[in-house]
Amino acid sequence: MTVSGPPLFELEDVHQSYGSGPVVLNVLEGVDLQVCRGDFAAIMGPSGSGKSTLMNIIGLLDRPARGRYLLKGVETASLDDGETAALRNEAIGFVFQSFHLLPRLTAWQNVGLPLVYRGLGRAEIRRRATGLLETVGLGDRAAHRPHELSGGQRQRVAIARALVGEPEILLADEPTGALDTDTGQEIMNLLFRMNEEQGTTAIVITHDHGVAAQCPRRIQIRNGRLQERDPPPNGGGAGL
Amino acid sequence: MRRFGRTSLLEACGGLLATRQRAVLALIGIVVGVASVSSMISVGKIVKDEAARQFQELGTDVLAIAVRARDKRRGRARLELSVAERIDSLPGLAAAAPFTRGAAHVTIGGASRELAEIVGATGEFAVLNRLPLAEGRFISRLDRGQYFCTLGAGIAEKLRKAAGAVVGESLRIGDTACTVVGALAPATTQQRAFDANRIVAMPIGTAALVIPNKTLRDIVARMSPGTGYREATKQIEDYFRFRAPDMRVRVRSPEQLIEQLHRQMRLYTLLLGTVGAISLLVGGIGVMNVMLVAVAERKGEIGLRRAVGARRADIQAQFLVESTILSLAGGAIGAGLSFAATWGICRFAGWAFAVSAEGAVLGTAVAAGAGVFFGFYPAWQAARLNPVAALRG
Repeated sequence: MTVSGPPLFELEDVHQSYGSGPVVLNVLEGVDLQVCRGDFAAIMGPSGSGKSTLMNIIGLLDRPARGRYLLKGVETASLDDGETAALRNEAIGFVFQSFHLLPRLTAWQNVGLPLVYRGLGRAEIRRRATGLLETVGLGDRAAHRPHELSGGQRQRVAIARALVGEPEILLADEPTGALDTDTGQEIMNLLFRMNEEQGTTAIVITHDHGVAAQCPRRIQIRNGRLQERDPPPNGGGAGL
Repeated sequence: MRRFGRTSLLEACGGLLATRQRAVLALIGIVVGVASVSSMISVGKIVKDEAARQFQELGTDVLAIAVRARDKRRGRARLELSVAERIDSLPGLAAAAPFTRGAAHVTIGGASRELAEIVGATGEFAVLNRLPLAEGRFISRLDRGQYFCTLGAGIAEKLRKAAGAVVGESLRIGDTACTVVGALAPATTQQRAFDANRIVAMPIGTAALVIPNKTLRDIVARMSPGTGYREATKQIEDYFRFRAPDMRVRVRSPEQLIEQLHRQMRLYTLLLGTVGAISLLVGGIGVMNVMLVAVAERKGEIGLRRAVGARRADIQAQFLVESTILSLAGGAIGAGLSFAATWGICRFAGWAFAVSAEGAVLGTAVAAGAGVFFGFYPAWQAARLNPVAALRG
């Protein structure tokens, strides 16, 4: 469900490189990207192509060496640490390949973590986190710790955590990479559902063509530049 | 302040439990350090109280003058009562009471024998020594030549048990019967030249017959207002140098006693302070080590927290809270231990033990300070981690 209007975020001529002196590795060399509210995009590319770097820049974990990044119309280069953290907390939800759940916390505490940094009270956090766990089908696992959950369940907890703060953008870095095909498909279906029902913009990094083929927008990254792929013949895979 | 909210406190405890063994090792240093610091403060307070109590009981202006023959073999040198009595003519002294003393067995109620200190005294003796009466009166100038006595509280109690009363009863010193005219209230300090609870005070003249071989050797004196004990001591020494050249004079004042007390305390303070400082340093470095390891082990967590919206300051606060809780736990144990240590020191030094909250509170504050101080560097390291690198683990 793509809504027209001003882009939610926009990258202009973004460069990023690592190292210094003679061994500079140019990862991104002039990336332009516009993403609108409700977009569901897959970013594909071989390993080392800069997918993760791009995601870290979009997710405000990293800053481009050159170029502009506007998020919700805000020039992100001018933000200090506190403002960046606040914007990240409010606008972005991360899902990682390796889940990154804190082993000492229960499922609901993991889900509620973004709200802790929003300054909400414990009772409110618990209420919202439990609600999100129900949405992802884990209402009865709220008090379990990560080691008591299967891989698919852990990723669903992570997705609940990414969504609990009602962010505009969901950034998923290989969300199905550590899961078997069926479980991975369940996770993708959950992401499509969230996109459909709540209008959450989703950027999914993947090297799995099967996963990418389901996404309405597919972007190829090659030699540090982006290349938009044509929509697949069936007109997009939302809801597959 | 959201970053010191309940959630992060609970999480801090959880984080520490995860690194238990290293934490215990670091704690030992903090425990010993805080115990030392708390004891140091408690001992200081106890000594101050002790000094105040002794000042109150002995008075700040009373001197004990001991006059002894300079050379035992020449023997015959003695202090004349007339010389001793007139010492109050010195400008530095307001009043003086010479007294003799010697041990003797007294027979109470015909049967019980008690070892007592026979004191030959004048009327000013009780006043100058601040010995309040419990009943009756103290012996006075008018009792001269009479076999009258006033008893210390301990001896009086024995007599009351044996005879049912004190004043008007009599006891025997050797073969001599002596009528009791009064009894003193119990004394608590042990810092006088004699045990005030076990004295039998008599006029100097009659005492000399009961304890014949004891010569006059002691004077208790009160200084004139505004005279320091050093000045008074000098005057007294000059006085005897001229009138009793063969005698050696020693003057003791409560101030001197208390100076001695403080010297003793300074020794404990130095000892405890040194042990405390070294232990806190060792413990603090231990805490720093625990926290550095925790930061290294929990890079992923730090990265994740940054990703979900933690500021650098939030990460820094989280690790500072953890190191402070770690140190406070050690501090609480150490403060408890300090009570035991203080009790031991007081027993050894003969002071009255008292529980002082100051020591525990300050010790705990020191622990918290150590936690913040030694936790600062690891917390700063955690806060400045690049979130992207941290997420990679």
